[in-house]
Amino acid sequence: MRKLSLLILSASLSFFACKPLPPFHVDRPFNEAAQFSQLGSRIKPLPLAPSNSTGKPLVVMQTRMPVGAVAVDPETGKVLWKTPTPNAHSRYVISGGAVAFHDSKKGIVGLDVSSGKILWTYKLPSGHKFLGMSGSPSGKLGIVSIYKPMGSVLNQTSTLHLLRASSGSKIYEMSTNGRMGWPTVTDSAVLVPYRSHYLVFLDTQKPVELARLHITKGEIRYIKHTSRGLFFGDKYGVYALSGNVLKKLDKGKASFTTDVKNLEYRYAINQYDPVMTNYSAYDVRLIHGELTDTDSIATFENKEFVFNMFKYFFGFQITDKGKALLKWAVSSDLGGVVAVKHEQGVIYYVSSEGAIHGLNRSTGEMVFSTPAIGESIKGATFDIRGFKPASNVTPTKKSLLDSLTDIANDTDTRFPLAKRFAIDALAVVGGAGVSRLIKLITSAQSSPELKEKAEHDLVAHPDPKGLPLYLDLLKRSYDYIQGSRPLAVDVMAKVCAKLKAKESVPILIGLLRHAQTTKKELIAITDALLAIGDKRAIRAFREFLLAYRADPEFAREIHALQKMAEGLFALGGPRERQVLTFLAEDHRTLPRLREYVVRMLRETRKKAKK
Amino acid sequence: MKYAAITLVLGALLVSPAAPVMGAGKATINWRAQNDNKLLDLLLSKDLNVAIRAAKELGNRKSPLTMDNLLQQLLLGHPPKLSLAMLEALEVRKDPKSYKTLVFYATHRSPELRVAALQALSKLTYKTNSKEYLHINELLLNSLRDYSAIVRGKAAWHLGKRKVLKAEKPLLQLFGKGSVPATQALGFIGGIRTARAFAISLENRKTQKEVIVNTIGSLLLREDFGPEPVRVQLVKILGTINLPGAQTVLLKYSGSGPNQFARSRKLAFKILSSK
Repeated sequence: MRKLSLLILSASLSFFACKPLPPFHVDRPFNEAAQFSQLGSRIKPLPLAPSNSTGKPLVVMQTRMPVGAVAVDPETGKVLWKTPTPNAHSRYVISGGAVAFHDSKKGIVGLDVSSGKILWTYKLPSGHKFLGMSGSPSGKLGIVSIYKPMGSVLNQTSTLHLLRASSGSKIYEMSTNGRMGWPTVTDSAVLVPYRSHYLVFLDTQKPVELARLHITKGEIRYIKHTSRGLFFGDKYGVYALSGNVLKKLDKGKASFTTDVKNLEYRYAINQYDPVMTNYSAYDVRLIHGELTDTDSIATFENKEFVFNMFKYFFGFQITDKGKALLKWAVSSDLGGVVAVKHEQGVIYYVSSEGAIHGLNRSTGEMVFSTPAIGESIKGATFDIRGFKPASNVTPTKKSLLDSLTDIANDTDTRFPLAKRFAIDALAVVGGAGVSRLIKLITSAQSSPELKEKAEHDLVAHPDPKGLPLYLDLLKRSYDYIQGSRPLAVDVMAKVCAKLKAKESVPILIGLLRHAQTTKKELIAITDALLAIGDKRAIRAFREFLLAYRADPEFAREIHALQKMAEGLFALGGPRERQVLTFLAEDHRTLPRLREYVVRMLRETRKKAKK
Repeated sequence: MKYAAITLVLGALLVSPAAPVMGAGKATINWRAQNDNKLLDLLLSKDLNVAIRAAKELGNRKSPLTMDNLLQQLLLGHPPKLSLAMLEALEVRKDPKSYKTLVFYATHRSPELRVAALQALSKLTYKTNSKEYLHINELLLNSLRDYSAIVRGKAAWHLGKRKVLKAEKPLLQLFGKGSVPATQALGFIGGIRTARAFAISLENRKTQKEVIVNTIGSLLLREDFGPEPVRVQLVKILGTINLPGAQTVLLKYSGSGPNQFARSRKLAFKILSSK
C-alpha cells in the first residue's frame, strides 16, 4: 500500500512537472534561438497582392455623419458599395472575404468584402472592452479585449480571440493576466505584443505559444507585416524579425537623427493605445517608407522615408551616418488628409472628401489622383499591396524652400506644430539666400514666427554680397501718397552693424534724422552707427541729442537718447564733451537723460584718475 | 497776555492786504518794457510759461542780438511748446537769417513744429527764382508726402498760395485720398487735369461736393485757367448740382469772372436765370 501511494505520488508529480506552461505564462522561456530560426522560415513576407478575397486593391473609408463604410476602387475612385455602420467604434480591418469592425452594440461585425452586406456578428464576453483587431490574408481575425474587474488595472486580464473572417466562428480564445496589445495575424502565426517588452508568437490553429521575444532596449509597440518582412519596435526605432534577430537585439533599434526640430513622429500605430483603436489624428502623424530587412537590420529602401504631419508631407533622405536630411515638402491643398499608406514608392493618401492621391516618395510630386466621392471622410483602411497604377497627373515641382515658406505662411491656423517644423526646417535646410530671407521678413503674408526666424537667421549670418539688397530696403522713402516707407529698418541696421558696412552710414544717418523713424528703429540705427564707428555719425548724434533732449516724447523711452549720448562720448572729442556737459547741467534736459550723462561723465573721471 | 499779543500779530499778518497770498500769481511782467538782455534771460527761465511769453515778445523785437539768440536757443533744444513759440517769433520777424534753422525744424519729429517751420519759411521773402525760394518749394512739395495730415495740409495751402504748378500732380493724388486742403489748394494751381478730376468726382454720389464746388469757383475766377470749353463744361456741371454753394459760385463768376471768358460767363448767367 505504501509503495502504491509512493508510486501514485511520483506519477502525479511527474505529470504536473512535465505539463507545459500555458501561453503568456510569466515563466515561459524567451529569446530561444532554436524557436526563432524555425519562425524565420515559417513567417513569410506578405505576397504583393491585396489581402481581400477579390484579389483587387480596395480602400474602405469611414464616413463621418452618418457613420458608414464606403468601399472605393482606388484605381478609378469609384464607389463599390456603401453600408451604414452607425455604431462602428474601430477602424475597418480587411481580411479574406470580410471587412470587420467593432460595433459598440453588436460586438465584432463582419461585412462581405464584395457587397458590404453584414455576414456575421461575434459578441465579446460581458464586461470586456474591445482594444484592437487585425486580420491575415487567409481570413483569420485576431481580436484583443480587456477586462478590468471592478475597474481595477492591477487585476486586468487580456483576452485574445481568433476568428475565421468568413463566418465569424471562433478558432480559439485565450486569456491572461497583464496587458496585451492588439495582435498582428499572419497566415502562419499570431503575434501578440505583451507587457510592453514581449512579443509572443502563437499558433493559428490552437492556443500554443511558439516563441517569445523579449527586448530590453525599448518596447514593442507595433508590428508591421509587409511584403518585405516583419518589423516591430517603438517610436524610437524599429527591429527586423528574422532568423538571427536575437543577435541584433543587443545592437538596438535602427533609427535616425535629424537637425530639424519639432519632428515628432511614430513608425506605426501604437497597438496598446485604445485611442488608436479608431481612426484619429494619430493616423496622419506617422513615418512612411518601405522598410527592408538588411541582414536583420531594418532600413528604409533607398534610405528614403516620408514624414506625414496632418496635411503636410516631408520627404527625407538618410545619409550613411544615419542623419535624415529634408529633401522635399508638400502641402495638400486638396482638403485635409485622413489616411496615408506607402506602397511601391508612392505615398497614397485619402483626402477628407474621399479622393485618393499619390505622391512620389523620392520627389514629392503628385503622380496619381482620383476624384472625390463627395462624402466627409474620417479615416480609411488601405488594402493595396502591390498597387501600381499608371500615373494620371502631370507632376509639378516646387522648390523645397518655396514649399517650406508656403507651409510656414499657411493661413490655416489648425497646425501650428507643422508651421513650427517648417520654420525650423528652413533654418536647417539653409541656402535660403538673402533675397528669400528678405522676402520672408518684408512680406505681409509671413507669419510672425516666420518673420522672427528669418530675421534671426539674417542677423546671425548676414551675407556681405547682399549689402545692396539691405541698403535698398533702407533707401525706400517715407511717402504717404505712395504708401511706402523703408522696410525692416531695425533688422537691416543690425545686419549693417554686423557687416560694419560704411556704405550704410549716410543712409542710416538720414533715417536717424527722419521724423517717421520709430524709437525702436532709432535704437537699432544708433547701435549700428556705433558698431560701424564712423565719425560721420557724431554730428547726427549731437544734433539729435540737442534737438530732443527736452522733448517729453522721449521721457518714457529714453533709451535712444542714452545710446546717442554714449555714442557721442565714444566717438566724439572735446566739443562733444562740452555738449554732454551742457546736457548734464541744463535744467531743461529730461531728468533720466541728465542722470545718465552725469553718471557717464563721473565714471569717466574716476577711470581717468586711476 | 503774551499769547494774546502773538495771536493778534499773526492775525494781522494773515489778513493784511500786503501779505503774500498763497497761490497767488507772481508779479506781472511788463514785457514791452523789458530790454533785450532781460528778455533773453527770461527765455531761459525755469517757468516755461514765462519763457514762452518771452519768446513771443522776441518776435516783436528787431535787434540782431535777439535774432541770433533765438536761433541759438532753437539749436540748443527746448521743450516743444517753447520751440513752437520761438518758431512763431521767427515767423513774425521774417528774417532770412533764420532760413537754415527753419529748414532744420521742417524735419522735426513733432508735426506741430514742422508746420510752424514751414509756415515761417513760406513767409521769408526771396526772389521767386532764387535758390532759397526754390528749395522752400521743394520742402513744401516733399511735405505733401508727409505722414502727418496737418503737415500735408499746411504744405498744400502754401503751395497753392505760391502757385507752384509742379504741385498739381501730388495734390490731385491727395485729392483722390479725400484731402480737403489739397482740394482747396488745387483751386489756385489746378489746370485741365484738375477740372477733369473734379468733374468725375462730382458724378460720384458719395463725394462731399461742397468743397469741390467752392474750389471750382476759385478755378473759374483765375485768369490763367482755361481754355473756354473747359470752363463751359464746369459751368454746366455746376448748373446740375442742387446746392446753394453752386449757385453762389455761378453768380460770382457771371458777375466778376475774367472778361476774356464771356461765353462761359453768359452761360452761367443763363443757368441762374432759368432757376
